[in-house]
Amino acid sequence: MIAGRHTGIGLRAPHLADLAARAVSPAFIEIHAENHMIEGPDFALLRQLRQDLPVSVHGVGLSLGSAGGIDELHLERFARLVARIEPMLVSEHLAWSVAGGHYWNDLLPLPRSHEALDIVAANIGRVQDRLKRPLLIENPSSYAAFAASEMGEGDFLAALVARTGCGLLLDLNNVFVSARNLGCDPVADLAKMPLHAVGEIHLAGHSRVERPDGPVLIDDHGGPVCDEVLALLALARPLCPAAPLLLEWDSRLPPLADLMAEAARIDGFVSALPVGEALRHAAG
Amino acid sequence: MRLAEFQSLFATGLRHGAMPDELRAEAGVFAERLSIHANHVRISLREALALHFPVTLRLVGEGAFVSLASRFLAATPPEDVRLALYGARFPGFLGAEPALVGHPAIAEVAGFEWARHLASIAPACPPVDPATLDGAARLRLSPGASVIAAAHAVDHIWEINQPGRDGTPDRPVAIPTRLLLWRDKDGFIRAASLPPADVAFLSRIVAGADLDTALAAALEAGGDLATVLARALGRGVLCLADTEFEGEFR
Repeated sequence: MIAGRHTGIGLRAPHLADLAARAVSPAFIEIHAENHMIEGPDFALLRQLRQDLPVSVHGVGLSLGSAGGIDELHLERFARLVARIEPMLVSEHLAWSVAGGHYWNDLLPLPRSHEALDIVAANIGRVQDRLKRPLLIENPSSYAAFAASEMGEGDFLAALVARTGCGLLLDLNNVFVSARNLGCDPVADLAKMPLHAVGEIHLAGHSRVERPDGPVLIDDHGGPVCDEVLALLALARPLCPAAPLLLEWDSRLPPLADLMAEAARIDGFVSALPVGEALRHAAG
Repeated sequence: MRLAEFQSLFATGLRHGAMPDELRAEAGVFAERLSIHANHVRISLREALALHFPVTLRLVGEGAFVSLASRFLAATPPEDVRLALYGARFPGFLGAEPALVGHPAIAEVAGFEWARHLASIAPACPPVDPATLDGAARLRLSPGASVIAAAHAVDHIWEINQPGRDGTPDRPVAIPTRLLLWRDKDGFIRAASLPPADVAFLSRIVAGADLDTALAAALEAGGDLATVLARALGRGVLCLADTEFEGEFR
């Protein structure tokens, strides 16, 4: 990574040409794996970028929570991409998107049952065996909770870390969105995460939507990182000071220069953090 | 509730837009929130179709496109995680759509748009070296190249519906059309009208015939063999059938 820069950016298609022309130099870029599995003209640009920039690969379609197991054909495509890109990190979500042979383009929620834990652990194991490297698993954003859940998100993720050797991709915006949507305390939820296993931190914006059933925070990655999420970063950072930070921005995508400015703002925030302000103290 | 049942119910709700009661009961006070996921799936897949079929959208209008896309999603959810490949069956779906029965050109234009899309994302494949060709050679079209047969001038309809154009044709469009569509060496998508001999030749190539058989078909269709072969080679659309190219496609 480039000295003095901590925060990478998610690569989105409209920015690819500018990045390939080296108009700017982010600390690193993160790609959505499924957007780069056809090795056409854009893939050639990506490989060109890879010569100069660290890249992380973030899956959105392995469907680690699928009761039907991992799609082996898709896993082969994923493994080929990882072999071709040689990323610094590989990650996926604690979610599912495939059922009955169909792909539903969303990160769908899981009931956190013991059965689901067994299934997700087995699926992570299969992927890690194929890739021959550990995955980072991202905590999801939640809009609902389910009667079948038997444990909290922190406990579920800690069990996955212990059983599979995976790491945690700590999405602080998701921690905040989920807590607010489910009536919980984001600081307390953060404190329950297996923070010793954090290998990367995601930051993003969200929006508030008024619905007939009440207001909901939507994890749309459509704006700057809010102060509350930065406050969570201040609490978590001392416990995982080396984890790369990644700014995600998807909807209402701004010009690349604006994205870089937001990454620089986060860099400035992190650089100004007081040393040693530990989450454990804040969480009481 | 077992996870497999949970996911089956959830998928049913996503497909048809209404979450089953058993799943709503699992979510309790959050039952209404499940619609957030259903909306996201529906809108994101519709946007993928709109991205792949912009002229089709313009031809049918936004309201009709939303309706068609919703019914297409319910009938044909994605089977491939790569969203760039979602929509292959949309032209066929439109062709069977009762509301479009009086507008057969729309499904054909959608087919043309899909071919253009595939040509734009396809992996590169080195064109065959003419010096290495013999009659027994087995060839293929380069990935993303396709031969298009339509009852309408789909290339002209596409052209007059680009941004800044008002959609008015400057020549008849209800005419049989045979096109070769491909990405050239500079990355531009090209469409060229094909004489009957070229159609015969390229169709045999697509079907897996060897070069001699494909050329015989061109001859039978009244073509000049040297011209037909030179035209295909000059466009760079012929590859050796066993040439490996980078990455799985289709």
